[in-house]
Amino acid sequence: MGFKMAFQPVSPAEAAAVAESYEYSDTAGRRFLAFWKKFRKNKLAVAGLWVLLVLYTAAAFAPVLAPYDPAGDANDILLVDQAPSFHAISQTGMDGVMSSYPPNIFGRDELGRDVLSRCLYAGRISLSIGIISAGISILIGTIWGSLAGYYGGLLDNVLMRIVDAIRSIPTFILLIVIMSVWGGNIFTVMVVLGITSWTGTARFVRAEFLSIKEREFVLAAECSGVSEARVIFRHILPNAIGPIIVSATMGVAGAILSESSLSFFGLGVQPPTASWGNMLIGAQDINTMLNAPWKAFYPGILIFLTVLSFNFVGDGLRDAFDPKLKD
Amino acid sequence: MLRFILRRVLNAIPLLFIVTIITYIIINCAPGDPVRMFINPEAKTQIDPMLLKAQWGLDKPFLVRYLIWLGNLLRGDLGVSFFHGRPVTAILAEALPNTIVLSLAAMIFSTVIAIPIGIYSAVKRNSIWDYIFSSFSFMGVSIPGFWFALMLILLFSLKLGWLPTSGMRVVYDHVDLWDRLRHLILPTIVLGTGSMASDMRYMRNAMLNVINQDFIRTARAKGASESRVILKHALRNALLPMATLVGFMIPALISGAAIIEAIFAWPGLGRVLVEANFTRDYPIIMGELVVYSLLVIVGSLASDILYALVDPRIRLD
Repeated sequence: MGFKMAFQPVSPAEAAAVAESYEYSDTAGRRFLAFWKKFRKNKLAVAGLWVLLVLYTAAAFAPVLAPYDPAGDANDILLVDQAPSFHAISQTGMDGVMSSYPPNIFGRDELGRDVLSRCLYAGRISLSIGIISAGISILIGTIWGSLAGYYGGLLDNVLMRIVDAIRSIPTFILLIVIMSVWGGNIFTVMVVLGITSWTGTARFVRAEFLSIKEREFVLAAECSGVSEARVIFRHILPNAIGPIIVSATMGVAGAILSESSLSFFGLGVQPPTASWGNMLIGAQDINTMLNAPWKAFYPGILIFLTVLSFNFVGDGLRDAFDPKLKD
Repeated sequence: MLRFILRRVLNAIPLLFIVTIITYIIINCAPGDPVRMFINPEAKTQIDPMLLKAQWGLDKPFLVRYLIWLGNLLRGDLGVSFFHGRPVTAILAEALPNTIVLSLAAMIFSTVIAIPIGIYSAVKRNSIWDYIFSSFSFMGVSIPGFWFALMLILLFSLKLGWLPTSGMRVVYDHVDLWDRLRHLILPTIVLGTGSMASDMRYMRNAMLNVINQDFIRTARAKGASESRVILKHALRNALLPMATLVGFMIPALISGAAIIEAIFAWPGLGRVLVEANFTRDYPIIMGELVVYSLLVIVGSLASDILYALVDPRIRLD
C-alpha cells in the first residue's frame, strides 16, 4: 500500500509516514531474519517444523492422497483386519467381480476400512482442533491476564483468585466432567479445550504487564491521551508477544494430546467422524491388541509425532525469542 | 513460621469456595436430566419422576440447592450416589488410597530417575548425553499416556506375558506384596514418564543456576574435589526448589492417574469418576471434583510449607 502512495502526489506529512513505514518494515524484516537465524540453530525445532509442514499438507490434501474412502464401502467387509502390506490385493468382491485394490500400507480396521485413509482424514480433525482450541485459550488468557495486570487492585484480585481456583481442579478431570455432562461434538471439544487451558497464559501475561506498565513509554502514551485499550493492546501487549507465541505452540501440543485422550474415552470427537484419538477406542480390547495392533499403533504414532514436533518448535521459538541467548 | 503457615491456609479457603461454585455450575447447568437417565422406560413398575426428583432434592431452586449442598459438604457429607445408593464419601474413601498409592509410586519412580539425570545433564551440559536426555524428556511429555499404556500392555503383558494387563491384585485372601507390585509396575511407568520428563528439565535448570554462583567457585578455589563440589555444595541448594515441584506435580499426576486407572482397571478415584460420568451420577462427580481440588490445594500448601521449612529466605516475603 505504501508503494502505491509513493507514486501519487502526497503531502509532506504523508510522505513522512510512508518513509517511516518503509523503515519500520525494513527493521521488521531484519528482525525476522535475525530471529530465523537463531531459530535455525535448534536442529530439533527445524525438524519439528518440517514434520508439521508434511502432516498439515497431508491432512489438507487428504481427499487427493487417501487411497480409499475413509468411511469404507460395501466390499470392505471381505478385508476386515487386513494386516499392513505394500502389495496390492486381488479379491473377488461382493458382486462377484475380481478386482485389484491398492495396498493398505497401514492395514485395515475391524470394519475393513483403510487405516491410512482414516488417519489422513482424522488428521484434519485432530490438527484443526489443536490449532483452534489453542487459539481460544490464548485469546481468553491474554485478555484476562492483560486486564488483571493493567488495572490491578480489586479486579486483579478477583480475576486471579478465579485463575487459582480453576488451576486447582486438575485440567483433564475438568475436561472429562464437562465433556460428559455437557455432551459434545467437534465444536464443543474445541471450545471446552480452549476454556479449560488458558490459566497459564493469563498468569504470565499478567506478570508481563506488571513489569512493563510502569515503564516510561507506557506513561508517555498515557499522558498523550491514548485510550486505555490502545495502551493495553498496542503499547504493552506487543512486548509479551514472544512468550505468547511460545505458549500458543505448546498449547496446540497440549490440546491435541487432550483431544486424543478425550476421544479415546468416547468423550471427544464422536465416530463415525474419525480423530486420531477415537481411532484407538477399539484398541482397548485385548483381542484387538493381539490380532490387529496396527489399528492402535499408527494413530498413536501420529499423535506422538505431532505433539513432539509442536513441543520442539515451541522450544526453538523460546530460545529464539530469549534476548539473553546470544547467537 | 506459624504466621506463614496460617496465611497460606487462610488463602486456600476462598479458593475452595470458588471451586465449589465452579463445580456446582458445571454440573447443574448441564443440559439433560439425571432423572431421565435413571428411569428405564421399559421397566414394568414405573417410578414417579417427580418423586425421584424430590428424593434427590432436585425440585428446589438452584441457589437453595447449592446452599444445601455446600452446607452438607462442610459437614463432610457429599450426598448419596444416584447409582450405587451408597454415601459418596464411602465410595471415595475406598478409591482414594488406591489413587494415592499409584501417584506416590509414580512420583518416587520419576524423581529417583530424574534427579541423577538432571544433575548429570547440568554438569555435562551441551554434551551428547545432555542432548539425548533432553530429547527423551521431550518424548516423555509428548507421548499420549493412553497409547503408551496400550503399547506397554501389548509388549509386556500380551506378547511376553511378564506382567498382568490390568487390576490391582489377583490374590485376595491375604496381602501378597509381589502380587501387588507386579500390578503396580506398568501403571507406574506410564504415569511416571510424563512427570519424569519435566522433573529432569527442572532439576537440570536448578542445578545450572546453582553451578554458576559464586560459592561454587569458592568451593572449587579452595580445592574441593569436583564430586564434592557437585554433590555437597551444589546439589543441596539445587534440591531446594525441587520441594516446590512436588506441588506442581500433583495436578499432573492426578490428571494422568485418571487415564491410567481407567485403562488398567485400577480401582481409584479416576476410574470411579469415569464410571460416574457414564451414569450421570452427579453426587459422585461433584464430590470427586471437590476431593481432587482439595488434593491439589493441600498438596501445593504442603510443598510451600516444606519449601519454607528448608529455605528460610522464603518466609521473609
